[in-house]
Amino acid sequence: MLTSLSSIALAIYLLIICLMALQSLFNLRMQLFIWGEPRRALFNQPPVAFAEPKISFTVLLPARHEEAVIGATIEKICRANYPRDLLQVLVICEAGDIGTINTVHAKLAEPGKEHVRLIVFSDTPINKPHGLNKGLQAAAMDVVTIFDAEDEPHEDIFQIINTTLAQEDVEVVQGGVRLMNYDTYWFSALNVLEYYFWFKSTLHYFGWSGIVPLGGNTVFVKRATLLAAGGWDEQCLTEDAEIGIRLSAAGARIRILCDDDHVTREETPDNVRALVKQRTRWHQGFLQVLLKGDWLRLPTLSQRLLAAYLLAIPFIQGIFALMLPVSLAMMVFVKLPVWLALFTFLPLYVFGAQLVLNVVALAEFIRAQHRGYSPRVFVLSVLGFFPYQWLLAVSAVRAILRQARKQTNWEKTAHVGAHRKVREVA
Amino acid sequence: MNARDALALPPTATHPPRMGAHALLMRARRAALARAWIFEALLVGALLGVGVVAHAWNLFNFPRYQGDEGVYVAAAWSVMHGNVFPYTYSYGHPPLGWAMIGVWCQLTGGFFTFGTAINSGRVFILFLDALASLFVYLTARKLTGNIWIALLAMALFSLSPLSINYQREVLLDNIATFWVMLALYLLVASESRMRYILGSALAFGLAFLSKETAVILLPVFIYGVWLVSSKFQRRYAVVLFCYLALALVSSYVLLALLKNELFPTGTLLGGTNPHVSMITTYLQQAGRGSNGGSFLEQWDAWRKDDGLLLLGGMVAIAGNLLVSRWQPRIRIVPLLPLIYLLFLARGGVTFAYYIIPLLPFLALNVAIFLYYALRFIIIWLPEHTRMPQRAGQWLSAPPWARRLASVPRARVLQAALLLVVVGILTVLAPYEARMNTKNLTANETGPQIQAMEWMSAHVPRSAMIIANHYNYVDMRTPGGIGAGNGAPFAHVEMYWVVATDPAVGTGIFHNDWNNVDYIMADSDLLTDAKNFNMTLILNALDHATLIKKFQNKLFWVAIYQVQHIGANDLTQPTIAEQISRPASATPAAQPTTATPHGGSGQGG
Repeated sequence: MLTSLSSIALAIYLLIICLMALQSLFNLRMQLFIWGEPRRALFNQPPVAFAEPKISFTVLLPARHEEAVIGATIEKICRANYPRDLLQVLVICEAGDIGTINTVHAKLAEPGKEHVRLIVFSDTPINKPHGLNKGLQAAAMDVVTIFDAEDEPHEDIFQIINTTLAQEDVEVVQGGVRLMNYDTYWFSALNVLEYYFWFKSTLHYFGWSGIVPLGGNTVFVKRATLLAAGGWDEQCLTEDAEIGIRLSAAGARIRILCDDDHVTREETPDNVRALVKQRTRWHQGFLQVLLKGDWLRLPTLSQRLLAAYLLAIPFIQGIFALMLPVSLAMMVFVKLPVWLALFTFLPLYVFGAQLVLNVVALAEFIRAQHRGYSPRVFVLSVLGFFPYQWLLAVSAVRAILRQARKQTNWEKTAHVGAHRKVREVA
Repeated sequence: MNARDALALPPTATHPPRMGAHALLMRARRAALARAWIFEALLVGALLGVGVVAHAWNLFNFPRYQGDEGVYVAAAWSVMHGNVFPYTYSYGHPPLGWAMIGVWCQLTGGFFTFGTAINSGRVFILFLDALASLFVYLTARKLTGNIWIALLAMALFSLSPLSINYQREVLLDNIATFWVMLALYLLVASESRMRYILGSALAFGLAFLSKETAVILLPVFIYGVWLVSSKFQRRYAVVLFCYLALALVSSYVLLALLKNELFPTGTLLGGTNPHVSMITTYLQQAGRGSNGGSFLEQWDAWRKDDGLLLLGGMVAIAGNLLVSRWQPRIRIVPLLPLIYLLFLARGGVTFAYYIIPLLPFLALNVAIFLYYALRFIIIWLPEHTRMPQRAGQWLSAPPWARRLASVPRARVLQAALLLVVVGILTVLAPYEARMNTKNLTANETGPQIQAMEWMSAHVPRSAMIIANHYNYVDMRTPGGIGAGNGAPFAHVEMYWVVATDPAVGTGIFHNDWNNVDYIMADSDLLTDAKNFNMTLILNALDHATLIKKFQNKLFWVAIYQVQHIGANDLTQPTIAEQISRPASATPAAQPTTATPHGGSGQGG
């Protein structure tokens, strides 16, 4: 009886080991997608020459308690290299957020801000998708785009999108977003790398498969497409991914464009608590999208499977990260036949590949920012790898608990502008 | 190019097919390509068939079963029975090669489907050789784009007397060479696609796990990855290739670690229990004196077998290094044999079969160099010396010369390559036939098989027998020819193991010659027993009588029965009398050069 129980347990354990290895391998495959073939180097290639500016843009700038950074962001967008009359900037605030509203008013009083408007809403829910929908009602231009209050979009971004839309028959362009402050906290480098892989490679894999969980900003959607889709889902914590899946299911053509020079710069959360809160929100949002089931309308079975996998990634990874200590304990304490014991090292080898890949990407990232290499960052990216995975696992557990308790309010990330300091230092 | 792939778009807009002129043209082109493909496949199939027949013809008769073949087949047999090795596994070689043999035998209906166990192993090696020569073809085809040159490379490789001799044997080098050729082909065919590069790393790792010496080639492979990858992905390609290859390499070390057999006994991490240790084994191997031939002696021996390929290969390696100044992508082709030759020339033991990994590289180098030499003469030289223009201007030149001068030079090159390759193959055919005479007609295994059959018919199964390694599986397993229809022998032990493994020498024979009943001796056993002073075996021979000898013009096997002192409880003493001694098996017929010490082995 005991032996049959233990052999069932062993079989389950080996199955989990297998799934762990397969899942990490698939993750690696997505992270490496862009480097898989030489022609894919062109996917992130910005246009060499800009087309004549024709397409007009509405910039939605939702802001909540962002008085510290909103002024600079408005300034940055106003200085974009694009004709004023083709730009409309809508700053969206909730009526109770007096601080931000005052700052924006002061900014709008400055010269050259005629095309910037403040939209204040007082109805609920007080969250980003609701604000975005308010903005969409007031939007008047061809293409609607979103920037976050702490963003630093590149000055040529509208030129690039204008040219891309002129050359390619697409409804949506997702630009690149990149975290910059890779050496501020112990987890910074790992956080930076996640974004790096996600925008540079993984999103292209999804684009290639026909399902794109869009990002929260630097995303450009034709206004007609947005209106046809009915705007953003105000109940969802990750309205960006949600609308991405919905647009994909509706057959919208989505272009990803993330080159090193034109990414939107952002910062990492400024402490572990903020990071866990942010991830809890994302994971819970993915869970909501999963439960909502729009992905079931995707045309092919493989797309539906991939979408389900994508939305479940946080939870799968969470389980595996929590499994890891169990697995290590098994390696040390349970005496397995040598062949099986060798096999149980498989996930560890795949994690090793991930570590090596991280180091290579970090070197490439630092090089692209023209910064000096410091051994400390590399060591931290290796030592912090598993603790970081555990943080994500904890966030996944929190997300499930919150969803079970029907807590669907935002735990917002505070912004102190660390990425700007980075740039000034550079 | 797939538009969907290029633009990362979901598959929405597709144009309805238009059957215009363009489509018709494309269809005709596809048909022509299909015809060309069938033509090429027929040519390759035919030459591959010739190579396979040349290897298969006389496969079970020549060369004689080698001790190493016996070891690997026995190891394959033990893998199929849940062990890594038939005796104490001391990490001499990684186990993947013989695990593959074991699986092959499992798939083909056991170890004795083709006669002896080694025959079954040889059929497997034949299969791998065929694949390896296909990879030689494909690699040359990728690097030159020319069918004729690729066929030449394949012919040089698979018809070489060296290949037909050594690539018949069940040796780990043959298995590793198959994997290395797969890795090389994937690298050359990659066109900087990551999945090919990673596939190449995987194949390379498996080559190492088949025979550890493959690791010598790793630096060249890494350089090769650097060459084939594009700039934007190079970092990832090189690092991931190294990681994957080394991960597979490390799994061998991990195996030792998991069995607590990595560190030597008596060290901090090795503990105090006596056990084998991978580190000790490799330190010993590194410090192994030169008991086999030296590199230069072996080189001479190889030169006698196929001097043409060796000489041509050396010239071509030098030539290709020069060519690779303008054609960097072929650079790994000369570098691979070069680094391996440097490894052999470092000193230390060089066994005859160490030539195996070189053979495909030499063939590739010759063919590829020939291609670039002809290209140089026919295309580069006229372009840079304006010869044809002048030829065309010669008004007095006959019309055919002027017509010839106006033929596109690429066409001329194609024709010249075809002519040269056909010419070389015509000249080569009688050479290869002559050099391969022995491979195709000689019989060396006859006495070996007869000896096993005789033992099976005449010797009690409880007898304690010391034999050459190739007897192991056939005599110890039901169904083997050495076991006959009766039960298998309980103790047929490999002479080398008896001498080196205390678990056998002491554990089974108690280091006492009186516990040995029979010795199945051949020249290898006797020479090694003498050279390595295997006292147990020498003492047993001192007290043994030659009771039967099997021999033909090329090889012999002698069966000695030990004459026990005291109680004859281990064997029936009458057996020597039961056998009618043939007149030829008198001591005078014994080749004296091979007997260990002054005929005392036979006198008794």
